[in-house]
Amino acid sequence: MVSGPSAFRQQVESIIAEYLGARTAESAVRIASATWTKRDLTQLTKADLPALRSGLAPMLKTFLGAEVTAVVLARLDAEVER
Amino acid sequence: MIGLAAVAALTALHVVVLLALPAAGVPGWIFASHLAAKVLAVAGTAAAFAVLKRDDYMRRFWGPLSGSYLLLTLAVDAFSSALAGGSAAGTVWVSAALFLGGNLLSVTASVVLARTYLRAGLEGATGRSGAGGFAISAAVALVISGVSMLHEVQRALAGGGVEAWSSVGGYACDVLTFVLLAPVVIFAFRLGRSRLAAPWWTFTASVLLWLLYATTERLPGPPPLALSEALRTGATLLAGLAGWYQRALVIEARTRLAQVRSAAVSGA
Repeated sequence: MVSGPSAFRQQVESIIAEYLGARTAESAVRIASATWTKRDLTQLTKADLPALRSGLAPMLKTFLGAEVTAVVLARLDAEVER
Repeated sequence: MIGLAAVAALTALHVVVLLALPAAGVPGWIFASHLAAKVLAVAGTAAAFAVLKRDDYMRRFWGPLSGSYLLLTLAVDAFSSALAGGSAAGTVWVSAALFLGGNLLSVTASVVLARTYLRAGLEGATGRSGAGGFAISAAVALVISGVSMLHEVQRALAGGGVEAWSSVGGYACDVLTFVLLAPVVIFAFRLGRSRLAAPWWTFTASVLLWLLYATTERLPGPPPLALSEALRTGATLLAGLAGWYQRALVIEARTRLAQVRSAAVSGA
C-alpha cells in the first residue's frame, strides 16, 4: 500500500509554495525532512515542525532573505495544525 | 502587472518619439532615453539591494547588477570624458574600463543567480533538462555573441586599440551571461506563480530581451532602429522593475510579520 502525503506535510508545502512554487516547496520539504527529521515523509506530524523548520530556514533564507523567511516560518508556526 | 504595463508604455513612448523626431533630434533623444532607462535600472536594483539584510544571499546578486548598470551608465562618452578630465585619450580608456567593469559585474550577478538553487541545498540544474538547457543556451550564445566577438578579436588584433579589446570583453561577458541563463530559466519555471516568481521572471525577461537585442546585430544589414531601441529600453527597464518587485516582496513581508507578531501577542 502506498501512503499519501501527511496532512501536516501538505500544509507546510502549501505555505512554502506561495513563495517558491509547488515544485520547489516539495523539494525543500523532502530534503529538510530527510536531513533533519530522519522520518518518512508520509509520517511527518506537527511534532516534527521544530526540526523541519531548522532544515527549511537556510533554504528559504537563500531564496527569500531573512525577513520574508521570518514570515514563512511564523506562518508555519501559526497556521499548520497537525 | 502595473509595473509591466508601465515598462511597455515607456518603451512604446520611446519608440514613438524616436520615429516622430527629425533625424537631427534622434541622437539627443537616444542619449537622454538611454540615460533615463539606466538610471531607473540602477534605482530599482539598488532598492532591492538596500532592502535586503546584510547577509542575505540575494544581495550578492542585486549589488553587482546595480553596479553593472551604474558603470554602464557612466561608460558613455559624456560621463567618461568628464571623469577623464576632458582628455580624449583618457576618455577612451575610462569608457573602456567602465564598459568592461559593468559587463563583468553583470556576469558576476548571473553567476550568483544561477547558483541560488545549489546554494540553498536543493538539487541544481544538473539533470538531463539542466544539461540540455546549458547546451542549448551555450549554442545560442555562441551563435549570437560568439561570432560578433570573433569579429571584434580580428578588429582588435588589426590595431583596433583599447575600444576594440573592451568590445571583445563585452561580447565574452554576453556569452557567459546568456549561458548562465539556462539554470535561471529552469528555476523560474519551478517558481510557478509564486511570490518570488515576479522578480525572477522579470529579470529573466530582461536578459531574454538583451539576448534578442544582441540577435538584431546578427541580422543581415543594419538592425531596424525602432526594434533594437525597443528591445534595449525594455531590457533595461525590466531589470529595474525586477529589483522593485524584490523590494515589494520584502516590504510586504515586514507588514505581514508585524501583523503575525501582533496577533501572537494579543492571543497570548
